[in-house]
Amino acid sequence: MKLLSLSFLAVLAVVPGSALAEDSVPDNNWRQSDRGPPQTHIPMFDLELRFGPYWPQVDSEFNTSKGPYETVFGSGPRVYVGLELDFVPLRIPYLGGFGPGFGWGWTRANAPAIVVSTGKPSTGENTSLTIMPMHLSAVLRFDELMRRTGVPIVPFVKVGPAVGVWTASNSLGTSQYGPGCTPSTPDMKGCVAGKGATWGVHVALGAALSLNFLDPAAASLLEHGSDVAHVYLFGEWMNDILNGFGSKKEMRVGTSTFVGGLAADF
Amino acid sequence: MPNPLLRFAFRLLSAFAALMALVASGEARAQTTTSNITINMSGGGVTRTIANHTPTTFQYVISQADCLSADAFVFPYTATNFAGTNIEVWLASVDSLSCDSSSARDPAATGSHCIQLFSAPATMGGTITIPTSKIASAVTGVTAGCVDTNSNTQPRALSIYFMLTNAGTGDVAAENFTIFKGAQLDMLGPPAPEVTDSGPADTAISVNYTGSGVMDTQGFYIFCDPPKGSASTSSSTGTSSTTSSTTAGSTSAGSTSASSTGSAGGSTSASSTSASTATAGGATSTSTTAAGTTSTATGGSACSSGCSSSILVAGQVPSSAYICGQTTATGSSVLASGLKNGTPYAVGVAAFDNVGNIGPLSCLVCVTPEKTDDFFSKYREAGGQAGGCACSASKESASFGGLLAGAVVFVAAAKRRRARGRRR
Repeated sequence: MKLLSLSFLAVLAVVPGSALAEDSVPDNNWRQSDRGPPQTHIPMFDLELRFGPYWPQVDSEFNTSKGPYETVFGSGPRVYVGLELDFVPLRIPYLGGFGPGFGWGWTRANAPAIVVSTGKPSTGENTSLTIMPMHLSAVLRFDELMRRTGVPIVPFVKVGPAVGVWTASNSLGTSQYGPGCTPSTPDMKGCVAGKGATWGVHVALGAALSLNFLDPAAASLLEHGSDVAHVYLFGEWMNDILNGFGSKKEMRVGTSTFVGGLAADF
Repeated sequence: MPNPLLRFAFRLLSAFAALMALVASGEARAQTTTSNITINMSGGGVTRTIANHTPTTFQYVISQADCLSADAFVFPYTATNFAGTNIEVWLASVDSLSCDSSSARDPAATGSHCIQLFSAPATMGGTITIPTSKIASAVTGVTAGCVDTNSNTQPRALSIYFMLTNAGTGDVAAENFTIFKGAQLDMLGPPAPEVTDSGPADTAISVNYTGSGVMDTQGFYIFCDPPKGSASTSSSTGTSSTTSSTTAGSTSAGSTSASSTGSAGGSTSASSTSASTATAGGATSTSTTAAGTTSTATGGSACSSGCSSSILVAGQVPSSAYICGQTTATGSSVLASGLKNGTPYAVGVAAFDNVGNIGPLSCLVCVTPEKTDDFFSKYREAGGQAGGCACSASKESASFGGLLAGAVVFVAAAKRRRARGRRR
């Protein structure tokens, strides 16, 4: 009993001492100031700015060596730009966030029209094909890997329905095709307008590299100032299977390509 | 003054007295500048009978079309102390003149002088109506036919004097005149653009040009000969032309050039033209077409395209009846549409300003529209079946809207679920 009492007193004697020791910690502790305030929330939104090459698969519909797309626009890729907003409110234990994502993209092919009599490119008229691929996907972001291990990589997968809205045009406006149709007589009876929408499926697999490790203090300040938890550099393989599910009446405007860009979750 | 209340009252009184003195001096000043004649700008203010330029910045601008029309300015006025006087309206033909000076109003004076626009016995008030053409033609350099021979294409401010005078002689006292400075004269369109390239399209012709950036340029017209919708081919869009031109120091006369496009008489030419550069600068060129028509194009420094027309002349203001397309001020290419494939056309570009004045025409290029295949034609010819009619505009919108609505529903559902989870 005596020993117990002594121990208790000893503890009482040490506690104020340690409190004093804490008071003496200097203000210029570089580690503490560099670390910044701790992360406070799990982000639910992810915004992506996307870039990549785009090869519309228009010619896959035709059994010829050189389809109409390649004949007019050539075989080179076109620039694709896009935006995507994912909302991942659901947490799957040990995996990450899950939710819907909406993406919108834009790409355009442009080239001179072809003079019928000579087969050569026209000097006075251009023709273009503009495609806006959009999708509504189920998004799974495997961010628990980063949260639990600190490895700044977030793999993700996206699957969902997609649609490609397209417009074929020339110098006078939307293209017209049909007997007696000219660009100057748009929407005449019997003319087919060069515009439409093609349904399909959007599949994407990729990974995002969190850039927070480059400057943790700045990242932390950014989060507290604007709720942006991470800024990512990402790359993904994107397959827009826009073929109208095999319909002959829809132009195949999808592509299989790699895209990359910047993303931020908040 | 030991009492603070009294001190405050004294200060208040002093301030009031100072304020009254200020008001009194202001009134005195106002009295010295009060005119016996006033143009009423309140109410309807100065109006015009026909011309209606918008926005209000251009309300009183006189364009060439206004000058040629029956448009008139209506000035409402009020006069005081007018007994035995005439009310006279004078225009300073150049802005530096002061028409209240008798010497400036002397018609015998050499050089520019003021021009009388109106004179009648003064009354207490009413309106003075002056034809726009009378105002415009009183400006130095403007002919009675509404042709402005000045080189400045920018609007010029006009000073119109309203005066109470005794038989029109002697200097007019300051209180007996007022000046209306709202009107502007702008009868010249922007300078001619420079055609840099042109090419045929399907029932259309595309022309690239430079020349945008002039301050009051509102857009560009493309002019076609033969005009849009015309069935006949103008003989003036000939294949060969004899050109003599003078350009700043160097003269080339009698050179004969053959246009690579078009043929007199309207036969179809298989070859297409892409005229590279055609310049309208400041020289004079005389062109003789194959059909024998001679036209003089003033303002062109050797139009190199070798294309000419008896109707459209480089350097001259073209008739609006030959407009076959237009574009905005910032554009660098313009499309003439609704033309006939296989018909040779002479085309040129001219700028127009914000009150509708058309400037001089660029050099002409001869181009024959021809059938082209665009991507969609190629696609359909290859057997593709996609495409829509006019009604399908809603189909694409529906696709976009469907996806967007789906996204909204997903987000809303997820939020609701999350809110429920929090409540639990």
